[in-house]
This record gives sequence, structure tokens and C-alpha cells, in this order.
Amino acid sequence: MSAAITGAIQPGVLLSAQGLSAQRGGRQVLTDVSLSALKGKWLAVVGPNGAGKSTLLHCLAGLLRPVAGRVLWSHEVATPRLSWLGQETEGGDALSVRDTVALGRLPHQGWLGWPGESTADRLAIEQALADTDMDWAADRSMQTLSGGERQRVRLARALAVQAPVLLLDEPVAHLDAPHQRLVAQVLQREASRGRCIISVLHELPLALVADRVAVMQSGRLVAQGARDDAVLHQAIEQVFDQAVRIALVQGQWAVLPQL
Amino acid sequence: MKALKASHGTWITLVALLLCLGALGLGAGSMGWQAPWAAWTEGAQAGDVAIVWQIRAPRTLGAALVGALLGLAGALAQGLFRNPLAEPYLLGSSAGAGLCMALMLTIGLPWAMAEGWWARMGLTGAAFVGALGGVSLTLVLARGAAQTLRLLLAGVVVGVVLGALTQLMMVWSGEAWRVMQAFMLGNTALLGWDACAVLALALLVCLPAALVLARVLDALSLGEDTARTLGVPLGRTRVALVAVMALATAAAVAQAGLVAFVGLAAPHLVRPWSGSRHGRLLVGATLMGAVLLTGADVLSRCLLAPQELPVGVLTAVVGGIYLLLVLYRRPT
Repeated sequence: MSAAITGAIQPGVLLSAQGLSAQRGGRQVLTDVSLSALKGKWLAVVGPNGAGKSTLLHCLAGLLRPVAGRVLWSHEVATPRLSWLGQETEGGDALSVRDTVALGRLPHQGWLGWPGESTADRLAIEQALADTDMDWAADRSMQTLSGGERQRVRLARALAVQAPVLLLDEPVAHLDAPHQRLVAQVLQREASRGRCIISVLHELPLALVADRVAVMQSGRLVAQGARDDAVLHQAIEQVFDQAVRIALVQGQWAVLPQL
Repeated sequence: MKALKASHGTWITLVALLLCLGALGLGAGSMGWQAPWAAWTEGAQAGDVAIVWQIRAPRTLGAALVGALLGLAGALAQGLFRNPLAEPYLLGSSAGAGLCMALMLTIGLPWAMAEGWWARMGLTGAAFVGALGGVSLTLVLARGAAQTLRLLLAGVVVGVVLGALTQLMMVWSGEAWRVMQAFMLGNTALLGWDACAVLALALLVCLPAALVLARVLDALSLGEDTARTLGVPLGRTRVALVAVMALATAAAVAQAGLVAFVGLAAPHLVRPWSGSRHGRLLVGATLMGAVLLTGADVLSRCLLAPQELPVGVLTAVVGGIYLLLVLYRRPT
């Protein structure tokens, strides 16, 4: 990972992106993005395809070196600092579900994985499997699972790290409605425990359950605000070319398709 | 489940031991299957004892060790490059090792031809440098290891080019030609106790080193980004894994020549029962490699008896068919 900078930032901010610009294959995909991730808050990043959401997450994780700007971490974030769930196709088909989730404990054991699992590791693994409703499949091989079940195992592996900052790229991809709700509840609980969650989401109704929402378009951050913010709703409708409308239905924000 | 897996490991070890005992009883000479026991008895003739302990025993043990090292190298290559078709022979590391050995034989023939431990170590060192160079060249040409087809094509190109250079060296030096002929075909007939010592030393270094890095291979199977966020220092661990793979390949090639496909087949054959983690796979592939090459050695002595077939020819034919089957069964 590229060297992350630790420094003094505003109280309550665990991670701060300042003027980030990035390129992929010589093409500018992120331009001057600044945002702060707050302790105990869930920030959803939304936007159309190619808006730069995943690139932003890669820069925050230190997996992609920005061409300009910097990522600043708070002093109070202890290692391991982050849990990561990316979009890359993970192999590991031969691994069992439990072994896959157990790899999330590597940062606590040292990267050689020695001397092995502690009681804390075992508890974290069991908790993560239960949180994602995958405890019933602990001994099964990954290659016997459906796409949605695999995604839940990958999320369980990220949760098992138990890091203060969670960077999740499309955590509910391939999941059915009940399991989307389950994941949302788990992320809300993790935020309430003081963790900071930044997740890229294509499911707009779920994004409007998060504490704050950042809207991206063409590599730029075009709006940021609380989920109830009317200006934010207008920005979402605009970046999605008025194909959706956000309305309050029975006390909850609903996203209605405009056909 | 674990007991079942342990029993598989025990079975492979037993098969390897039985093959080794059988191999002691096979070969030119008047002795039959009783040879290993006959050599222990007081009435045994000195010639029979010498045949068993100076020719057959080191050859059998050497074949098992060469197979073990190639099986280990194959499992490391497949885990490191996240590619089930990776193996030392197909990655150009065997060809690189062969080229450096030919170079050594051409330049420093009298010294390299010397009998004994140090000559063996020198040849193994040259093969190690060549193996590292060969696999590095393949990776550069393939622009990494992400695409199976590109990796295989690059490996084939490197293998052919380095093989041609090796042939050129051999043409240049007639004496080297004679020595290298046996190596090019893969041969266990020349393995002596010196070779066994070098092979055992290499296995003693490579297997523990590979097992230490087994969790890194597990993490790599989740993808590079995920492995990096889990704290794995990718650059350093890749260099270490390539070095271990190259050392295992080099030690095998320097003693027995180019033996193809054992490194490909051994991990595939044990994967169904070795469980999910690389720790078990590495041990299983090492044992299976020993079984495969000992078995191939026995067959190479039996098929055209009293003549012998070079063991590399046998593994190339059987392994080539196996590779085609694996390719045919892969969805993409």
C-alpha cells in the first residue's frame, strides 16, 4: 500500500481525503475530491457508472497512489486501520467459508499467520459469520456457494478484521432483499459502536439509510450531506439523469423509478 | 473430515514407500524382488549389495526427492500466480535452469564434470540462477500472471528460446553435448548419493520455507488488493516465493534434468482431499510428486526392459495428455 499520512485532523474525523486526483491508464478518473469520514458514521458514496467511486475507495485504502492530494488518518486510529471489501474477483474457490473469513484475522496475527488463531480470533470469525447469516455454511467450500452467498462470505471476511474504518465497495451486490436489510442493520450497528464506514452503493434506497451520502459524477464530488437533505436529493436525481425521484413514503426515503 | 484427510496423506506416504521398495528390486542384474532384503542378509554377494546400495537405493531415493521438489514447486507456482496451469516447466524456469547448466558445462567443463558434493552444489547454484532468470523472463513477457493463456504462451516461448540456446551451447562443446543429452531428456539413472544429499538439503530448505509462507498464498488467493489490505507485503513475499520455487526446480533439474509435468499434476491430484489451506496442499503435493516420479521411474525401467526409457520422456507423454485434459475441462 502507498504510504498513508497520519496527522492531526478535526476531532471525530478518522479519515480525510484532501484534494484527491487520480488516473487509471493515463485517464483522469478522479478530480480534486475532498471528504471526511466521521467516527461512528456511515457514509454512502453514490453515482452513475464511471463516476470514480471505486477509484476514490482505492485511494482511501492506499491501493492507488493519487496524482495529487493526500489521505490523512487520525492519530486515534490504531492498526489494523481498515477493513476492505473490493470489487475484484476473488479466487480462493478451494478455501472453505470459515478459512476465508479467518483470513480477515491476518492483520491481528501478523502476515505469516503465526502462531495461529487466538480466542479473540475465533470469536470474531464466529461473529462475522453470524452477522452475514453464513454460519450454517462454515465448513462448505466457496465453490459450492451461489454468488450472493459468496458475497456474504467476503463481507464476513471484511467484518472479521474489526478495524475502525470499513471501506466497502458494493457490499450488497448480488444480495436478495432480506440479506440487503441484514447487511444494512449490521453496518448501522458497527457505526453505532464507533466505527467509520464508507461504502460505494448502487442501491439508492439503501444509501439513503446511511448517515451521510456523497454524490459523485465524472470523477468529481458534486454533493455531500445528510440523508434527509433536500439539496442532496436533487443532486442524486440530477446525476442519474432524472431517471429516479426521491420521495418520503411512510416515513422512509424511497427511490421511485421515472419511466 | 480431518481424519479422512490425514488418512489420505498416510496412504500416499505408504504408496511412496511401497514404490521405493519395489524400485529397489528392479533393474539389470540377477536379483529379483527380494533384493532389498537379500542385501541385508549375511550371505549376500558383495556385487548384489553394491548394486542395491550404490545404484538402486540412491536412484530410488533421488527420484522420490526430485518428484517431491517438483510437486512442491508446482504447488507454489499455482498458488503464487493464482493460475492452476502454472508449473516450473511451463513457466520457463526449468529451461532457464537447463541453459545455465549447459553454460556451466561448456565454460567450466572439467570442474563441473568432477564427481562429488561441491560439483553438484555448483551445478545446482547455476541452475538456480537460470531458473530465476527463466521465470522472470516469462513474467515480463506475459506482463504478470493474471492471464492464463498469455502466461502459457510466454512460458512456451521462453522454453523454446532458452532450449534452443541450450542446444547451441551443446553443439559448441561436444563433451557438454554428451553430458547434457541425458539431462535434456530427464534421467534418474545417474542419481547417486551426492545428488541425494543435495536434493535432501534443498527439500529441507524449501519445504519449511514454503510452509512458513503458506498463509500468504491463502491471502493471495483472495486477490492482490485484499491481500495488501490484510497487511501482506506483496513485493517481498513474491520474491521469497519465486526464490523458493526456483531453488526447488533448480535442485531437481541439476540432478535429474528436465522432468516435465510432475509439478503440474501433483497439486491437481491432491487438491480434492488436501483441504482448503495451502499448508496441506504444499505437503500433499510434495508427497504426491514423490509418488509420481518414483512410479514413473519404475515404469521407465519396466516398459522396455531390459532397456530403459528416460523418465522425462515418460512424464512428458503422460503429463502432456494430462495437461490437455485439464485444459479441456476448464470452462475458460
